[in-house]
Amino acid sequence: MVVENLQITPLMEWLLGAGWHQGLLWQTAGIVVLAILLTVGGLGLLTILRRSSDTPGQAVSMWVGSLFGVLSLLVLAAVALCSTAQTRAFLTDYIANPVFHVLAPLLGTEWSGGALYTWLAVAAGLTGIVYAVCWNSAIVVGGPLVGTRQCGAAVVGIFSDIARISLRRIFALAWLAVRESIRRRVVVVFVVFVILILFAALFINKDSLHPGQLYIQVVLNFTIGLAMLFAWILSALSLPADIRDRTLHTVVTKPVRKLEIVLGRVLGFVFVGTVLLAGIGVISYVFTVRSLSHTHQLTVEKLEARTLPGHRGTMLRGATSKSHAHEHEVTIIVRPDGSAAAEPVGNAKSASGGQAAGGSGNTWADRLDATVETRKDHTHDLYVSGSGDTAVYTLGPPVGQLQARVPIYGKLAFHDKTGADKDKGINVGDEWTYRSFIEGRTNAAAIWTFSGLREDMFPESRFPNGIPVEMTLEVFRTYKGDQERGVAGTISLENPETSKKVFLRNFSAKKFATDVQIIPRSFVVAGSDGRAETIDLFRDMVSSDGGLRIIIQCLEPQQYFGMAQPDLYIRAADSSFAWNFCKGYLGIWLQMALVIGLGVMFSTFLSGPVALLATIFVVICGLFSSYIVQLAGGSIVGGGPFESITRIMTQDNMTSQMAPGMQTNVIKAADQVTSLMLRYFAAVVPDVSNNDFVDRVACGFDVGPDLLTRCFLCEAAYLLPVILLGYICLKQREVAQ
Amino acid sequence: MSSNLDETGGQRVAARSFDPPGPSARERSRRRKWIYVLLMMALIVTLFELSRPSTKDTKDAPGQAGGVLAQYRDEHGLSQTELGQIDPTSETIRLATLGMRGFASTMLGIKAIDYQMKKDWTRLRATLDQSIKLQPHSIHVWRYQAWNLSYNVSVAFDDYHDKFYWVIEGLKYMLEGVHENDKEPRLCWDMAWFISNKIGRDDAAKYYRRLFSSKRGPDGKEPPDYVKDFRERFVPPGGFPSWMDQEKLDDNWQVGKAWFLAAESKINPPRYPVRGMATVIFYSDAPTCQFYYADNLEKDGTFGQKAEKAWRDAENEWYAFGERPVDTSYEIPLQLNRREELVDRAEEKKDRLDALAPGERENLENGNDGKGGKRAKLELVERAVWDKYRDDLAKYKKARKDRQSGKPAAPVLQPSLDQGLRERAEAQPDEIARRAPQVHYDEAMRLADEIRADEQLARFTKNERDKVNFDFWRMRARAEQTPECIAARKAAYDGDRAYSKGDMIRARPLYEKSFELWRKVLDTLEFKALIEDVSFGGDLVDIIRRYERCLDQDDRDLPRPFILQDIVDKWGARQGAPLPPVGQKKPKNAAP
Repeated sequence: MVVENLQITPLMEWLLGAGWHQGLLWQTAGIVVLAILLTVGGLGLLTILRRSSDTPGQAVSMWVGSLFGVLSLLVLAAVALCSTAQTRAFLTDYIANPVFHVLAPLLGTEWSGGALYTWLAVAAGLTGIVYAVCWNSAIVVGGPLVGTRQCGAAVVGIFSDIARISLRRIFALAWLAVRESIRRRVVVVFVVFVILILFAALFINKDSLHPGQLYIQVVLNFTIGLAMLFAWILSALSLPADIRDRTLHTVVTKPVRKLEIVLGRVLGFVFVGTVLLAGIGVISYVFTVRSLSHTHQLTVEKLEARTLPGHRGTMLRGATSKSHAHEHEVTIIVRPDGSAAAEPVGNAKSASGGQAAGGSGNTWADRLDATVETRKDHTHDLYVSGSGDTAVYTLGPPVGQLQARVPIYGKLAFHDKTGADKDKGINVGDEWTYRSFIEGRTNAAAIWTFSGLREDMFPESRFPNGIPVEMTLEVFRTYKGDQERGVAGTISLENPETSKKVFLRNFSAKKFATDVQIIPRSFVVAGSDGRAETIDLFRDMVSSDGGLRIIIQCLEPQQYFGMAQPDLYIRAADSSFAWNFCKGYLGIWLQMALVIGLGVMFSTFLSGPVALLATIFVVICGLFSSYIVQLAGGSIVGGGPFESITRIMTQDNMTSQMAPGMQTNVIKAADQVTSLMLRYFAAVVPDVSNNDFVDRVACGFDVGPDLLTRCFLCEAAYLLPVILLGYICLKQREVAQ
Repeated sequence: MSSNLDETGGQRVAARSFDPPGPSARERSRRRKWIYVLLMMALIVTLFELSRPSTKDTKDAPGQAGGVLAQYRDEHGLSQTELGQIDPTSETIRLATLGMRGFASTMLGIKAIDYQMKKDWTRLRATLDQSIKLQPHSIHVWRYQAWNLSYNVSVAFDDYHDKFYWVIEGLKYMLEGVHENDKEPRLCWDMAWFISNKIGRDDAAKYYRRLFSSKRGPDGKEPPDYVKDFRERFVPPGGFPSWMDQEKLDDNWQVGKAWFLAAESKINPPRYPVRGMATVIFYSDAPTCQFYYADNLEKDGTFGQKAEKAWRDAENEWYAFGERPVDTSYEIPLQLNRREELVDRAEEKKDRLDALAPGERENLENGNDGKGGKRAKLELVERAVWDKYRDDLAKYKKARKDRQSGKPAAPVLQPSLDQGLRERAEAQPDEIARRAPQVHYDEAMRLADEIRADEQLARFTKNERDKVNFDFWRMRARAEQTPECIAARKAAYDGDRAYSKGDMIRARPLYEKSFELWRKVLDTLEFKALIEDVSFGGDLVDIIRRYERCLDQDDRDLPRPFILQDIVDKWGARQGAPLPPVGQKKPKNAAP
């Protein structure tokens, strides 16, 4: 199962750029100083603003207005310089790079790649552009001095408002929003979901090979659809309805700040949405777990006995009863009386619970090595009571169907067929270039390098057999070969510090299936002198900084293995599926909160239907932002909007060249302007699907804390300016003033 | 004296009634209501007559045809129930899209393409299920996606078990389509094609056929449960024919044949004609399955009476197919079996025409009247071909006459000639008829017309035959029934088994026995033309190559002339074959 776009960059590296830990500011002392500065400065500013009057003085307004004006001019200049390649190069070489170099000792070597700084730059840029527009308008109306003072006063007023907000009033307004939502029968959403769940079975194919994935995808996608619909309609229609019905007037006439109104609405709707999501989440979880829960029957009559040669006992083989459109093949080896396995094998348990194998060998259950075939992503434990022909076999609930793996990923590199290092493997002509390939029976190899591995991460009690490595390889055959077996490959290990390399084992590749390979803690290999050598995994193969390389090669000539970085990982532990399911709902909550913020913001200055349209427009643009970027970059055939309109009207196809001339030049120039706007627009609109964890939860991967934190930070990064913008728009609007 | 002022001093005004003249407002309102009611009644009656639904016969009362619209729907097969079953889930989902069904279908189609590209098979399958609920009566969607699953998705997998799973998924998808559109023959045909050709002729056909059957595999395992589940449901509409026993139910070719017959039963022009292929090809698919069934019987190691019966059944079914009148693009229904009869009839009429205009044929063809004949204008090679054809025709006519009069006759095949050469070398019937004496002129012209019609029909029949390789299959069915042929195949099969185990010493004499028997078969006049078929010749060449490798063990070459030298010469150097032509040494490092 492919889960693309797995975020492997650590949180701090993403936030502050690679090499952040080398910056002075992010050392302990630097953090302390920064914290003190922010605290003292913030508190001081807050105090000053709260104590000053609502109407700022002219001098202050003038200074602030001028300062912001200069900053906005700088931003406009930077935007203008970014519009062509030559000026962009000038900006990079003579302004950006020197600034980066100056700040590097403070912030880290590659701080410019950090999301925090990017956000600060974009926020400053957008603020500058908006201020520039307002400032120019004010200057045109009232002249430069008056305009500057007015703009400055507005800015000071905004900061003053922010400093004076009252949590008590915000919560009161939030509670008002909650009551309004209830009055509007928002609980209908809940009822609709329950009805949908009741009919969900009609959408779910019981014959699916991965029913667990299917159920989770269905319930989560239903929830996303409902949550988005609820958030969209409630948030966009609420304020305009209040303004039309004049109920907002009773609020505005109270000593309530506009920011508190906007914040209260957002918080109130988010609270309602949270309660709904919580209820829906519980129902979804119960529905999923109960729908997938099943067991099978295994009767003695269905087992065929066969005596194993060499006095190794008897093999019983048969199939369980059919349940949920499948059955399992069960193989039970009954060892001779009195013998016991050296290690527990299979999953036979005695009826009273507990692992049966590995015991004294006296009871019937102790003598059994049972394997229940894995079908549809799960297996079952086998419980035994009684013995011999009167033994009763019962299968437990499904095991392995609902899981939350916590993988440890490595970095993937390749060797080509001559053994030279490469970033990527071969392209075998697959349309989807997510995976690249290595050729068989050559020096070509795929090498995953892990770091930070420690022995205490794999305690023997939980990993008695060794370290589990899961891999999903693709196979490309250039000739059919033997169709009765898979293409063979090898796994080897290498210590990145000492370069000691050992061959682990051969394996047969399973396409589109997760193959679990166990790396034993200790194993024997043939040494270079031909003598047997015992290798201890952590002592011999893992480096001092926890590094380990796992090397995959294909054995068969003219056959290929394909892989991508997330295709092989070490499965260190499993998180709780229930908690992971909750995290899936957290992702939905984030998407819902963003839509609520956008809806409330648009509703502060647009009428209800228009705010609805604007909200859904921004959400859809966000979903297609990558396509818009391609459109702006000119990589989509057919040109920009003006060229497309021309081609449509002249019934021209997309690939033919336009006739050279003045008309074509004008069209292409206009498209360049729109491309620039589209590029900036696509960079700004939020992509709600970034918070979509459905794939991860469905495929059984844990949503890690890094990813969750990153999504929360991105959400806050969008919501903050959105709420501020809503507040500013509402502030400018005359509502019962 | 009255005053204009009232007691208060105000101006007195004459009392006036405010009701206008005529009916009162209340009366007018009442009248309007009555008019509306009458109009509504009239409209209701009209609507009732238009849209009254039709009803079925019950035991208490006969059914009724319904209103104008219902009758119109029934007449032209336009109602949704005419298309097939109506699924409440599907209807509900379509209603829920609020008119945006097309948009939703398009989005789901785009998603399906994306999931297929990313090899996300679970989501692809789920998306196809959702998509088809929106458009359950779109035949092309069923056909395309079922084919996509069985042919494209299956080959993306490496293990043949996984491949077969997706072949069956495509079949199950198509099965739903058949149930939703139970009058549509194309879906039944596709079902038949997938079961017969996809399972029976894929590269992994050996494994697919075994998995398809209900038999256990060589490892003793039962067939997978998805196969068992499919086999419970793969009954064609109308059920399996009575001749399907359990053994035939285990064979994909026989099951495919049953589905082809089901598709034939649904042909109902003009609403459900044969679409997308020639009629002759459509009706040839069912008997062709019998050929492949017989062929695979022998490939699986079954010979003797069972194989003979299978080939005999194939011949009989092919004959029955030849008897069926098929529609053609010539707008004349014709029967494939009739070609020889038509040619014989045309020749008889030519003889009668020659009797009416004696000597004119020779004058025209050979120039006996000194005016130069057609034969003289031919190339030397063409002249030889023409002369041979005339000789063969004479022998054929004599043998036919002898057979008709009960005398022993030599085995002679009906000769054939290239149509272009015939037109240039043979005297045309109307040319001869125009030269007939006046007293016989009318009859001669009539005969000429009939000869032309018969020859044209014979040509059309030959064209239709060529579309389905009719002559080859008929000849092969007859040849394969012969004891020599069955013995040849058995010897080759035993030789292959020994060869696969590496026992070249045992394989060699078995191959040699097979070649001797094949020689006897191919020397039979009736079956000589088998050598012309590429697949037949290719199969023999493969056996010869294995025999060559057996000879390699003793460092011996293929003997020259080889007993099947004609096969070697014709097919031994096929283009694209990985090995050099038969008779040449292969390179040392060639793949096995």
